Amino acid sequence: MKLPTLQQATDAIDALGRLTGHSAEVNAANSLVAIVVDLFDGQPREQAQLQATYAAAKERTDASLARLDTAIADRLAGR
Amino acid sequence: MRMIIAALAALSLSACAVAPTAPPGTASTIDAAATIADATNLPPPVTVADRTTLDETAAIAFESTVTVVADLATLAVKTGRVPTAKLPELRERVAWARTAVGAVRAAYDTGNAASYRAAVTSARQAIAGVQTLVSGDVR
Repeated sequence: MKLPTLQQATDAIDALGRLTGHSAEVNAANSLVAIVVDLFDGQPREQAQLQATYAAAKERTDASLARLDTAIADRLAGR
Repeated sequence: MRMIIAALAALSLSACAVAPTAPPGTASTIDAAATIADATNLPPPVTVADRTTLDETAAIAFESTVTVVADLATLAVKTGRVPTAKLPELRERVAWARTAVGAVRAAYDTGNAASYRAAVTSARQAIAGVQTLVSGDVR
């Protein structure tokens, strides 16, 4: 599998943001793509850096799932 | 949006499919490193054979994939791309995904290869459930 370049992924997500006008999720997605592309550049990483990145990734996942729950609840409530 | 979600999911989930957890230096560790290198165009296994690094990189990629899918699903919900009638089902699938993510984290913490692989497989199905429902409604 060939990875998209960071620029390609960023351009695609930015285009989505321009279409929808929702910048928060687009910014989050951009940050995540940057992390993933950076991790797979084949360069060695410090253990502490990886642990910190993993911890931050878990927090970000939880926050994103919570935002999704909220968005669904808001729509169902007619907000 | 469907294309973006699929691309991002493929980007990260391909890396999560292999979770090397054998002791450093064993044949299975090297094999797993080679598989990941092939899947992601990484340099040869000799340069990426550190078990801990591979484990954490795969785990970070997995978490990142879930986050991207959740963020884009949120976007689809907020913009009204997901019909109201589909929202209860989406909510159930998100709950399933959250449970599956928790199982992956627990398996990672135990460091057991078999349970980690099984948890990742289940989580991929759960995440795909969210992804399919959302992307299926977004044109």
